[in-house]
Amino acid sequence: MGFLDFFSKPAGGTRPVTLPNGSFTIGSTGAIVSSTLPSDFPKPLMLEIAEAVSATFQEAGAAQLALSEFSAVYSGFRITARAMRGGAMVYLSTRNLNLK
Amino acid sequence: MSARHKILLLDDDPDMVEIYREILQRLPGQPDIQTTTTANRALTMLEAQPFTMLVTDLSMPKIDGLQLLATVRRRWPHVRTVAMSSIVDDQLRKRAQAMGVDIFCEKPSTSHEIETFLTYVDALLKKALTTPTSSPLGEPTLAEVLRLEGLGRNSSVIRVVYGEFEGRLWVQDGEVVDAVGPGVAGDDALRMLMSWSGTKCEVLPAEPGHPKRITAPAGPAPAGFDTGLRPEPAVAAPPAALPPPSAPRPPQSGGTTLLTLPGRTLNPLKAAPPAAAPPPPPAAAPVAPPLGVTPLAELARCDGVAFILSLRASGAEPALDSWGVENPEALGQWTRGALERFRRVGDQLQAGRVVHFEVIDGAHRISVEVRPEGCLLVGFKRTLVPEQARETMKLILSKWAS
Repeated sequence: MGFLDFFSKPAGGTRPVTLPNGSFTIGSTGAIVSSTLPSDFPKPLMLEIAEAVSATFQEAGAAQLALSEFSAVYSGFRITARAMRGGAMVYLSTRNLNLK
Repeated sequence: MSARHKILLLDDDPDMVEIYREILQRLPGQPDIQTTTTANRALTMLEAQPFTMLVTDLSMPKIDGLQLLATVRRRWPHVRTVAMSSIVDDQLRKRAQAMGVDIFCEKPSTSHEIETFLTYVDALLKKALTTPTSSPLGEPTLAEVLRLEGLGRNSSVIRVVYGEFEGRLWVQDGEVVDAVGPGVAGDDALRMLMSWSGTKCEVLPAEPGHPKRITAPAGPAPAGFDTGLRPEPAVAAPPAALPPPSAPRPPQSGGTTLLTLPGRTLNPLKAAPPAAAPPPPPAAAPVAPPLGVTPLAELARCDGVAFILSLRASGAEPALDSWGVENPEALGQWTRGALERFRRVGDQLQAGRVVHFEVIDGAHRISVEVRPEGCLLVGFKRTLVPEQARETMKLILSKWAS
């Protein structure tokens, strides 16, 4: 039956990251304090989001924005960050495409 | 009356304060120089004692130099103002100009620049003894009057006097509908009136039903006009206003303060009042619709809109335009930075492109719509419910796209 292997994907092929639903907390030092994201969600990606969130909050001061919350809305995903005592709470959610 | 002037020097960097104090102490009149490192303290000092001049840095924390200058112009119109900045961009210059700053310049660093700077400051101090400061509030420029009329959607007739010449503008619901100048009418007259500098304006009662002769082309706003500022005298002014670089010359009484240093230009601030018989400027001067009819001002008429910033991605450098934004360059930079960061995040997550960005700051709910042609940032008042804001945003986007 090995001839069917021709049609199967290689075992080690790349898979897209599953967009997660959950949240994590960034401390005042930029470190991730806690997370409810799935355990298979890559840590480097979480850190990348944390860095983007921290930088966005930090640079808001220069633009004279008293930033308390922001959301980056993608085609199928949403990242919401809320400032919390020097750190931030970050919510990740897949968007309902509302296909009805 | 003592001729010894008092100068208040403000910079958030104590080292810079010391450096500029030493520089200013070289002034011939040996002025009394007092220093501070915060704008709040500067305001307190201005309240407590009379100063002839305020020399301030523009980039400072909490209250920046422009905010301070606006306050000083309003409360102490007689105080001469010198604004310095290490980075001079066009936007900053326009805003300083709007505040009615007497001298706006890059921070002098070389000995020649310092010498030129001192020459102008000295000339300004001498002027302070003889002539009152023309406050932008006391004698608003035509652009400022139009801005106010546009913001208030007022109807009026504005009489503009430029030396022996006179013109009129008809404003209906904040929009300029007609203009008449010496020998010209309509668009040509508007172009002419807007290129005059140092005009005196008088707002007269409206004349309802006045025919509309201004076609208000949707071209680029003339420099200094999109923000309701006076037209650019540096562009239109004759070369006689420019001192030769090798021999700095103090500004004439009531004249344009234009600092030219070797290798760069310190920008002029005051429009030169008309000479005895100023010739009408050439009709080929750049012109565009006044603020009341600029595209962003139109968009801002929607309910609940506090400010708008547009970043068009045309060309190598995104074109920035704004309405009602206190610091458009900084806000534009922050927006670009945030969008770029989250674009990278989106690429890594394979989540698609950022289509929208929502921000909540103290008093505003800011909505940023990202399109291939650029992005539009609209600040709504927090009192507006989110559904209303969304609907308004859709309306604004449809207009912006067109």
